Amino acid sequence: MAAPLSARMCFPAGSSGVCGRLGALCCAALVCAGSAVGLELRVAIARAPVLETPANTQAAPKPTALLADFNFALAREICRRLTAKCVYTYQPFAEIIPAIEDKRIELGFGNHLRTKAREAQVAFSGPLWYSSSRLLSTPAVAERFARQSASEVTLDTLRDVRVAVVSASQQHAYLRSVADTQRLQVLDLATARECIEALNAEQADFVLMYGLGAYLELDATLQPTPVFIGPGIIDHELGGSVHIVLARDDDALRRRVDLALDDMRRDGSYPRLWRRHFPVDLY
Amino acid sequence: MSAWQAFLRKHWMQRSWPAGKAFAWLVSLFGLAFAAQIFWLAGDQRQVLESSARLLNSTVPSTLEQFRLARNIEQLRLDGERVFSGRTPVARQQALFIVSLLSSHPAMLADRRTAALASEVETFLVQAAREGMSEQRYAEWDTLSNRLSLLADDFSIEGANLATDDLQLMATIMLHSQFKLALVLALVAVFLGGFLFLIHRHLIRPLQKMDKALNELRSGSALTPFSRASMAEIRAVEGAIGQLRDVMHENQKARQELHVLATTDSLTGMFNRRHFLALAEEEIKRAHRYARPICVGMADLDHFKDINDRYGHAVGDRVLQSISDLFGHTLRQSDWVSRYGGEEFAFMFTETTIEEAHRLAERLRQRTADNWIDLGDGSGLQMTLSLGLAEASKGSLEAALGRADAALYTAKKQGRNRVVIAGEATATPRKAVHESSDDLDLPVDER
Repeated sequence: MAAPLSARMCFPAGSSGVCGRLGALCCAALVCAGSAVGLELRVAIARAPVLETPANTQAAPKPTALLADFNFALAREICRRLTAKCVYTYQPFAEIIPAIEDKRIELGFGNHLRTKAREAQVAFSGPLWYSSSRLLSTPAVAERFARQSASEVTLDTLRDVRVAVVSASQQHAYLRSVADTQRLQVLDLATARECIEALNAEQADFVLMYGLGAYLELDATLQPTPVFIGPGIIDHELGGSVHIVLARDDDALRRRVDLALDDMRRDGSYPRLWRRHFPVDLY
Repeated sequence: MSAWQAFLRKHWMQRSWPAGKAFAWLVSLFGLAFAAQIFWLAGDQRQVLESSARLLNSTVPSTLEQFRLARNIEQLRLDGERVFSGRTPVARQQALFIVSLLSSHPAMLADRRTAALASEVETFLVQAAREGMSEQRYAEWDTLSNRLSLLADDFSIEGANLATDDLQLMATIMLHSQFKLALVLALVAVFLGGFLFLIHRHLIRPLQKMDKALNELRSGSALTPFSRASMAEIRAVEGAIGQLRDVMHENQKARQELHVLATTDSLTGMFNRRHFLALAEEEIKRAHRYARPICVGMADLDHFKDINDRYGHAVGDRVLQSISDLFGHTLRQSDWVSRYGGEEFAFMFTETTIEEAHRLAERLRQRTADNWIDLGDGSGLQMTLSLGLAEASKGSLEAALGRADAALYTAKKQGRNRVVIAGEATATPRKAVHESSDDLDLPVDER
């Protein structure tokens, strides 16, 4: 974008020779300088429940916005390393992959698990961190189901319950696939916060969401505090590596993003960034 | 000699090798051995590279994962402690959240031991938080905490061992490479030594022998025979030197034969006239220089023409040969005689006065007269000889020979079979000469 702008400045229509050779040299230098920052990227970050626009301040984020803040900080660092001019927007998780497919954005930071279905839609960066899914419930519901069930309550043993999930998430896709067989009522909501709120409001019996998201949304001051049910789940593509998503046909960008991530790991900036936001090591 | 030694000598040691072919064989052998060693070393190098790549791409990440897992297990233990020791319920609940988060970490779930222990820890802590803390529960937690610590230690050790194994493998390979490299260097040294030895034995030493042989040829001394060389080219040169020696020998022989032909008379073996004159000229000069006595003589067989006419030239030739033999036995070694022409002979008596020459000539005349010439068919004949002597101590050879010839003419004129000294009117009486012959310097067998 910068190159055409420079060209117009130096060679206005009908004014040949105005800049002369010196001007041409200056323009060439500007073109070269412009090409160094010529990459422009539109970056989408999964919508934080509180903030509607990305926070550009250094103020400490609220715990529930930590993941979005981490993604935003990571996106900024990657853009800096790519010497790219990036435009950041918050978008609902469900809209990120379609936006990538429609070329409305180039990079999506939505904590996407790598699944076969998504591989057909988008390309993935190298792994950012590792996730598993967990069931949450209120202590009362958990106790009730524990009494009803002879064995441990797990995702596979759920029957005739309401389960809240983030819309378009892998958890959502899985529950939809087993909803009929397990007689599950799936509540697809926009954010993890909404899922927890649905649980607290007894609109849902269980929430199925990724572990880190659940940890960040849980409020220790609430009584009764939701509890985790059953072990962590990595089967059915409900756990694994989390990635940045980008267009499948933009292999050059993917390679550059991967190189930037590798550099961040090597120079220690990625672990520091992670530790600044989260108390445990999941990368 | 054993059979294999004989076989080796026959088929190997006595066989000649073209130098280029032998060199090519040696170079090929060395090249093959060296290439094999290089491939051997390259195998080690490839192993080191593979180990390095495995260390970089697999082992180090695995080691880091092990360390990270050990750290998470340790953090799980610490947050478990916080569930018991948290100051407020909120802090304890927060610690419990972290325990749940850690126990559901995919890395924890991926390992069966860790997954089981983490699940047990989470269940225990949730139950403890719900049902209340007690000394008994803390004692149980102490056991779980120890198990978590031990598990974390196990993963740390396993992670370290992963890198250690690869590094030990690389160190072993490098050590082997060091030995192999030393072996390669030893091989190169052996081959170089072998090359130098073979070059000295089969190239330098034969060349030195050839140089010596050429020097011997140049000096004319006997040629030292060559030992049988292994290199075909060296053998060829040695053969050429032998041929050169033979050719030179034949040339020498031919030169000598030519010299004999040029200086002697083919029938009698005496000096021919030209050679006699050349020698006599030099001898007279020497005698004049040192004022030494010297005489010349001319002789002619009496009635030789009649022999030719009567018996033929073959008998004439036989007579000349017989006379030549007689002269050879009668004259001293210092006396020179030549066939001057036909049946005419010229003499030169060096270091001899005219009196001594006269006695010698008289004896020659007498023996000629006494000589019975066998013609081969049972018959024979006797010849007489007329001689003219002249002093040659002064004047030219030509003049002296002229005087001798005149004396010979006088001898012929006076009746033949006599000796006449130039400048004297009458021939020496034959009897007197006979009586004084013992005083002459005759060959030992003729006295």
